[in-house]
Amino acid sequence: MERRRFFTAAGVTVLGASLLSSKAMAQSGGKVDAKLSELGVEIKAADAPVAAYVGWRKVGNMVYIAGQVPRDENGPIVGKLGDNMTTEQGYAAARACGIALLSQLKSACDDDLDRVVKCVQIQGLVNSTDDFTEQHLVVNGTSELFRDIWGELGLAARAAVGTNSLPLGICCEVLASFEVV
Amino acid sequence: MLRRALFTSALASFLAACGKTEQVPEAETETPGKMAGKVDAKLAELGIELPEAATPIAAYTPIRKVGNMVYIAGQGPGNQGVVGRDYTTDEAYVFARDAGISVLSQLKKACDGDLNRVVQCVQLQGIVRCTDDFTEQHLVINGTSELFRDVFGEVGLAARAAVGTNSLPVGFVCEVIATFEVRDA
Repeated sequence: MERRRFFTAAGVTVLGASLLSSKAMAQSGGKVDAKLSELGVEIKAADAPVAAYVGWRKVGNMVYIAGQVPRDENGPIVGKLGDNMTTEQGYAAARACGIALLSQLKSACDDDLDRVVKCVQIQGLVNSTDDFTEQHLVVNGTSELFRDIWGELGLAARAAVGTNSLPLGICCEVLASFEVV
Repeated sequence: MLRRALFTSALASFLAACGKTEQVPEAETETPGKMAGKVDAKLAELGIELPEAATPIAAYTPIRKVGNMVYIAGQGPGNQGVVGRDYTTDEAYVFARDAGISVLSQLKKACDGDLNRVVQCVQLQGIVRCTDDFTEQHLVINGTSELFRDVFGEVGLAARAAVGTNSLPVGFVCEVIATFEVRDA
């Protein structure tokens, strides 16, 4: 109840502060969407699953999101860190996974990302050679995106690990869970 | 209450899709205490006999319950080997299905023998032991997912992650970890 009241108050403040764009705000919520456009992040419709699963499940106030595939304009980003991709390229791919997670999260929140309380868990899997050891820096691509959006609450209890292979040959896969109201 | 109603209607449409068009009697879904219920009937129809829940092979517990959530420890099939070298995707699919059957044994134990208490499969993580160039982990783990869908309907599908690994305990071909939402007895 306390949280909801706070949330409503925050919503009112945001609306008050942006009277000029109130029409646009009414369409798609507010604060987080504004932050996303400030960051130049465009949330597309959630990807359809590539196998027998669902994009997300909700239990109470928790949203669990399926492992997301990194995509760019050419489709899934394939590659292996330590072989044919740099940590920086991996970081950009992990950020793309983060954007895909946001699409699913938005769908789970009935289009209103302002309902997100915090990111709870992130698991990032990085397609790596045996001697690659910067998985944590790759998965920062997801974590720092969420921090830029939600501040400290966007940071998760996280695990970043390496693997020798991922579906479709993608270079990383990230799954996450969020608390929502 | 809304969730229960949703579940009932999902069950009804699932049964309808199976050609059983009769309405699900309200009373039947409200008394899941009755053993040998719908899920057991479905398992029998699929020719699946759930084995005794496996005992842990190391320092862990196979099941944890928190509120209405059941967390099940990683389950493996009886087979060892590497997909892409020793097995094809189709062969490994069957092993992932076997691992899924082990998950159901644990889940049944967690539900005091009554699988009708399952509301939905929430998360599923499938780890496939494979060669570096194998890229069909998602099709392997469909072996588990499609089993759960066949048993529970659409609510059997999870927010899933399928990944590869170069090695697993005791040489398992795959290992699956799942969480389920269940209702009170």
